[in-house]
Amino acid sequence: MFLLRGNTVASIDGRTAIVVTEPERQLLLAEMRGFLEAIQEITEATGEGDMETIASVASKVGVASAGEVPAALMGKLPLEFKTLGFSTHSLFDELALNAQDIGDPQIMTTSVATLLQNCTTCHAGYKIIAEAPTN
Amino acid sequence: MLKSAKLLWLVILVLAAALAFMVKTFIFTGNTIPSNDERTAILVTADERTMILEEMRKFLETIQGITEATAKGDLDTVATLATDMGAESPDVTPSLMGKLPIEFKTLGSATHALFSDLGVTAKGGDANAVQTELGNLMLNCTSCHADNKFVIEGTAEASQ
Repeated sequence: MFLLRGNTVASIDGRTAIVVTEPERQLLLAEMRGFLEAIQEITEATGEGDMETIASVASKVGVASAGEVPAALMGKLPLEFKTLGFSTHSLFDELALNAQDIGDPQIMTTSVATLLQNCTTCHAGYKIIAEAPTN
Repeated sequence: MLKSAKLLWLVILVLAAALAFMVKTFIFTGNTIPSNDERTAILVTADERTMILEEMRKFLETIQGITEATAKGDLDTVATLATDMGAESPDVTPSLMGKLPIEFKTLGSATHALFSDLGVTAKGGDANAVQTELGNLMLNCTSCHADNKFVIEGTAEASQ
């Protein structure tokens, strides 16, 4: 059950609160800001038809960057959150490949919309809160 | 007579200093402290924080909707979504407004204005221009998230 639910409690705003340490929270929020910055750069580059920038930016936040999440933190994350996170990293890799191989701005925009759907689903369902310090 | 004039000037000076302090705090600085992650922590109540985060999730959902509609070539939907978000006026109380630093208020107001501009661009029918403007609008999101965070008043984090 812990594998499915992670370390979570119900939140008063109707979302699920994932309880982690403050440094873990900082790590997750920094990762999300990295997603936001990547999507901003990709959106701007799509408007300019700059596929090289899209490929470069997207590959930096692909699956390879997910390895930075420590095992202890991974255990606290509910399965749906991990699935959405992994899917988001994979979609960035897919986006990078499409930018290199196909280079169609419309496909780029569709992929970004799918990516953003992961962001909205996750933000609507979850929040990350810090557990009380033990010392 | 001279003594009461001096007293009057003293009162005026004290009031002017108090006014300057209040203007600086409530208009420019807001209720902020430096955060240990090098951002600025804006101190608000739990309800105020929930309201602001909900507002930001609405921005995110609108950006997702705009991107999806742009991919489908549906610029009418882009125009509607962007214009509606541009016209939306967040229900910010005077108390909360006083806690927000000027940079945050400026970025928030500019973001709504950029959504309105995007609505006009979408009506022009150029999908590439929509993408470029959306990318530009999202710079407001990235710069605000890079510099600011919301912390609940009275918590351990608020007293760091």
